[in-house]
Amino acid sequence: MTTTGKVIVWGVVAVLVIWGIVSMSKKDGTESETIKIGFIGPLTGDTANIGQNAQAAVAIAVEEVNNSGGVLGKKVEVVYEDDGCNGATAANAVSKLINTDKVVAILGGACSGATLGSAPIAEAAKVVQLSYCSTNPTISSAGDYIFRDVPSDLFQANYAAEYLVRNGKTKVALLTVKNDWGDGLNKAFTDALAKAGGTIVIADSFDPDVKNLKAQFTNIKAKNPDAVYFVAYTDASIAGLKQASDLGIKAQFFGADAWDDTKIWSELGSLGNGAMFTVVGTNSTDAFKAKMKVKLGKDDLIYCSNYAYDGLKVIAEAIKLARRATGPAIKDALYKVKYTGGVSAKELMFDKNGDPTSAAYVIKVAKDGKLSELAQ
Amino acid sequence: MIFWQLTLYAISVGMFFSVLAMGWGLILRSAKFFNLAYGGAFLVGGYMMFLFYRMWNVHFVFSILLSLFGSGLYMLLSYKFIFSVLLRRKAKSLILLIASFGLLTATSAILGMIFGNQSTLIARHLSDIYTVNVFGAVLNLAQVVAIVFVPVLIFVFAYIRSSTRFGRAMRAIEDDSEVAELVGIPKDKTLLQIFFISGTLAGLGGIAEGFDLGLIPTSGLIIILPTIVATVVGGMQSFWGGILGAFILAIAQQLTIVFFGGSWVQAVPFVILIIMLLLRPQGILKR
Repeated sequence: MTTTGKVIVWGVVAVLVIWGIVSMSKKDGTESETIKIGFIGPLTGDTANIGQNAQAAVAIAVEEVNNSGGVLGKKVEVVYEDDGCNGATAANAVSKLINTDKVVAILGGACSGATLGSAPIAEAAKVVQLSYCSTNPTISSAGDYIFRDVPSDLFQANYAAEYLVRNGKTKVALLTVKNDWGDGLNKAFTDALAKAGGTIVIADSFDPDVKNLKAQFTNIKAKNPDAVYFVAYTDASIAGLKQASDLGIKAQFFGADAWDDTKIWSELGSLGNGAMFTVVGTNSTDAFKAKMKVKLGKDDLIYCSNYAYDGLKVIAEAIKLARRATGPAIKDALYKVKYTGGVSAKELMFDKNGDPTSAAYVIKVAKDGKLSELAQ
Repeated sequence: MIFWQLTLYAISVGMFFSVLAMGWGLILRSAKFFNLAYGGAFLVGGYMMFLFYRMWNVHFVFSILLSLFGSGLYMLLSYKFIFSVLLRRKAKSLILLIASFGLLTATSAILGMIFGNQSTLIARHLSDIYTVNVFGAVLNLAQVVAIVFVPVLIFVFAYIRSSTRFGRAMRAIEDDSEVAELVGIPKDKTLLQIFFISGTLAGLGGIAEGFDLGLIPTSGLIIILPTIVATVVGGMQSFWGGILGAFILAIAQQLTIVFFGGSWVQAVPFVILIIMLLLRPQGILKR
């Protein structure tokens, strides 16, 4: 090879190397211009509606944050990942968000299983994870970096127990689904009822895929309780309430937040009359509902979406307070932040477990297939 | 009162599993393998009933006939295109079991895609299934129909089995299918009929389940396990064995809920199965 040839080859190599360095540093430049926040939620599968609804709410929150100048002079960017309402998928999604997208905080998941499955990864990587819909009590102790802005089921059980005793329903039968959610509520309700001055006359549970609760309800009927605290998901609730009505149980039926599924009441029709349940209250505004309608193209607002919207806003607030977008700084700031004027609760602060300090519940009552809020 | 109520519940559950064990036992004794696709026919019957009766508002009687035909056809076609081919190749019963399990899984996955994974109720209004007072206890319409109608069905089948030409052919194949073929019994045709009838019985179970509790796509597998237990406990080689096993199972489940609590109810069939296999592996009744 001639000298000229060598010069040309080396020249080409040099140009390529310089071009490569320049383009890489340019990419680095754009990355540091935005603050990345991860989002996980069930975007496919059974509970996809909850995830997609929350995604829309988060998108609205991001636009609002960026239109008012962003955070630390930078724009906020959200990376959305699907967790399929499943712990293993959520864990993968969180690993990807932390290692590939280098997010500084994660919003999600919706399902308690997804949050519990992915929390150890966020905790180990010192990245804040804030759930907008998971109510299982064990999330309180899932780690220092794990937060949620929805209240734990402990509050819900207290609220239900106090309501029942206040209304003279002191003899209560307890029937709960055998999983993390049902067991958590079972224990919390038993403690809360004893404290409120009521007694559990009979307690039983059932497997999640069982719908034949006839023998359980026969036992319950024999004890003649004032109320039945029945913790179940949609399918078992429909079958169970029908079987209880077949048996002619006259007690007050009281359920948990999963009863906020309209399918239960439209299937049961008049058979569900008088059944009550607690559900987390929201501070939703008409303006927010209108924005959601524009975003989704239909009138649909799931209560968790209020919490997803506020979740993003409160993370942005914490980054501003910390003046740095790093995991430990955001974590410390979240414990100090006081966020007001949200659409979920009037005021949001976190206690030492990363749970909201206050919880507002409403009681809904079913009549002829429709739900209405009980005036208190 | 509680005892009488639970007795009635045990009887109605026993009737439900009797139908399923009867249909499943037919295939087990004639084709000699554990046909899990039986759960698929259960689902096909139930979901077809939902489609015709609730979604398309077809008259009850036509819906039920179409659904029973559909579930029978499902089982018949599964024999024609899958099991008969494998049987002709003298495949081991393990291979047949795996093939039938595959068919069940595919069926529930497809039905899940079409109808969703949430519970599907056949009744147009749940209040249509009104309750009847039976000497102080209550039963709903679906349970009353089961208690009245299933014994009739069982005796009709017992009669067909003992006294008709088809019944004799069936028993001959159960005894020894090769000898039966040698003496001129049309084995393939008889097996097709057996699979069809077995499918309609599974479909009937699916329809009852859809009216009483609601169907989910995994019901097919959930229901086949106690059916197997009932048949094995009662005696695999006996027509009456499956029915006896069904009632033992139903009574044991009710007693478990009363004495140990509802979360144990799924475990009980298998405890009975293990004890039975240790003490008397051929089942309570012999042929």
